[in-house]
Amino acid sequence: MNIAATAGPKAEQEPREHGPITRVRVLDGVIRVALVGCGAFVLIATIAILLFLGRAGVRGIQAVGISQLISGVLWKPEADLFGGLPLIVGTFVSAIGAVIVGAIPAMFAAVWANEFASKALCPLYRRTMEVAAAIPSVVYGWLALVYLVPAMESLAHVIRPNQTTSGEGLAAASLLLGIMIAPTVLLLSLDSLSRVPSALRDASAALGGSPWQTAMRVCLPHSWRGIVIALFFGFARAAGETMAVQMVIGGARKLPGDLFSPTTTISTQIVMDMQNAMPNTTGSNVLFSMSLVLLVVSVVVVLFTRGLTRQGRQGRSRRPA
Amino acid sequence: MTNVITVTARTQSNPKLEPHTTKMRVKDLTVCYSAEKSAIRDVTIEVHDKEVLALIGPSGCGKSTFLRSLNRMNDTIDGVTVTGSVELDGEPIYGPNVDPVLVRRRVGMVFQRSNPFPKSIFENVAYGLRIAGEKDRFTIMSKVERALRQSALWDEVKDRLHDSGLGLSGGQQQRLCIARALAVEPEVLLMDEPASALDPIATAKIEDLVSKLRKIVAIVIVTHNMQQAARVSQRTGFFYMGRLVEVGDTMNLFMRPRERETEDYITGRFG
Repeated sequence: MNIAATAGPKAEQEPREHGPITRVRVLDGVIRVALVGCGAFVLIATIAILLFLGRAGVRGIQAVGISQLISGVLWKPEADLFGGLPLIVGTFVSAIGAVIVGAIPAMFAAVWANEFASKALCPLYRRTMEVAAAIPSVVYGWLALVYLVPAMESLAHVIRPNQTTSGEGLAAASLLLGIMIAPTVLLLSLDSLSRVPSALRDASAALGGSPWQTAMRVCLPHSWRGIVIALFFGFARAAGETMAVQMVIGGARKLPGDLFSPTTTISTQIVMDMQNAMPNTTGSNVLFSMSLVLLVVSVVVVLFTRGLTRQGRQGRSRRPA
Repeated sequence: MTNVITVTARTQSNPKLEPHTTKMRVKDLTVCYSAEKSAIRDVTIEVHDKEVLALIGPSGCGKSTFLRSLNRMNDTIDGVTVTGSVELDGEPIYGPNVDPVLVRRRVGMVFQRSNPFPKSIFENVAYGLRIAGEKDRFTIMSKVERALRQSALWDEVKDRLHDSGLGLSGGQQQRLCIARALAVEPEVLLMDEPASALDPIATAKIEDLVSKLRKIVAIVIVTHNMQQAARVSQRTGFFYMGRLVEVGDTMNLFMRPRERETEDYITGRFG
């Protein structure tokens, strides 16, 4: 206050000094170059990965043949047999199973948390799920190996008493993956549901809609795009998960007889075979081919969700202000 | 407090007024959003059948809170406490075992900002019927048409019933919301400043509609606009700082207000 009071009159008495309007800003240029470098680095790394993956993958496909790679049932790299069907079946069945036992319940849990839980409970629930989503997958895998696999073994004994089993297999993998993707799916669904305007909930309530009817007929339809995106992300994460699945899938390189017999998946088989695969051999290239399958799954999911998001944005922009 | 009761008693005994049946009876209603502060205090008023009751008052005077307590919409807000009684045809709507969902099927509501569902025009109007369990397509169709005619929207939308309700103009959207509320055949319709977001022409249509609709449904309308209250209502209540200062015949209230606060408000000295 005092400074301003004394500076005021002084500035009026003395002629004002004008600052220069030209200078060379070295730092701006340096920062710009550094930022462009960072951007280019990430882009080049991604393109390089795609190029190497594509080149080796295509070589693998050429060496083995696409039909053998997709439909062959024997995977024995030591005998140059690369039938990828058990890997593909293991990946997709365990991921779909995870969506059924984990992602879909998580979607309804999000409806509960957003529409029915009290104002105090919902944030608490959300925090807990954020913690659950941040637990490393190896922890989930270890817990599953210690607790889930023995439980599956007991269950298998009840369901089919005549066969021996270790409890490892698709059932354990699906359950584990379901538990792992549930928090992420729940959080994404919750974000989508929380964007439903409260005016629509009021409208439904004022027309005699019960909270359940409002949730199912107004909130879910309004946020279905976000929820479908959440389910697909859950699927993609389950399909790509390696470490945890490795610990409970059993690692048998054959098609599973049922949900309780050991089998394998693309990502776990890559981990199993990589020590023995010499670079630039068919064995190595075929692992890249299988990686391509995973990449295609991810790209389809990304394109699909992008399409849905854009569609949703266009839908909103048609709304008059 | 005493004034309110005498006013109510006076209007009831006034032989010049048309005979009426009481649709809703509110007694000593107090609504608190938190422990310390009440939004409305000891409100006693009646809603008559075949009549438009206008509620006026400055912003924050509690008129919207009062309106939302007539169909238990305040229940959706956490931490609201309600004391006193509200009766619908003699039944207490805050009584034990009362399902607010069923109350709201009989006491409909139209909001300040039009809020059509992102569904077709037809499905917007059919929504209330469907959630009430109506399955018959013919019944739904005829009730949707009737509601759209009642809300003076039918001629404008009859050729595009399956277009999105969000494609309508602001005034049409608000009339769609009125149609949606009318489709379930409520006995009372609550309107919370239904025209305040609309241009004068759309406002005139809504006012015209309100005047006509009182023949089929009792209407309680909250408005900022005193001319609007004078144009559409038979009785008017003036809320100030959470209290109902006075209520009576609309012409009497505007021409010969009995309370100093009412006179100050309607002559524009505050608010």
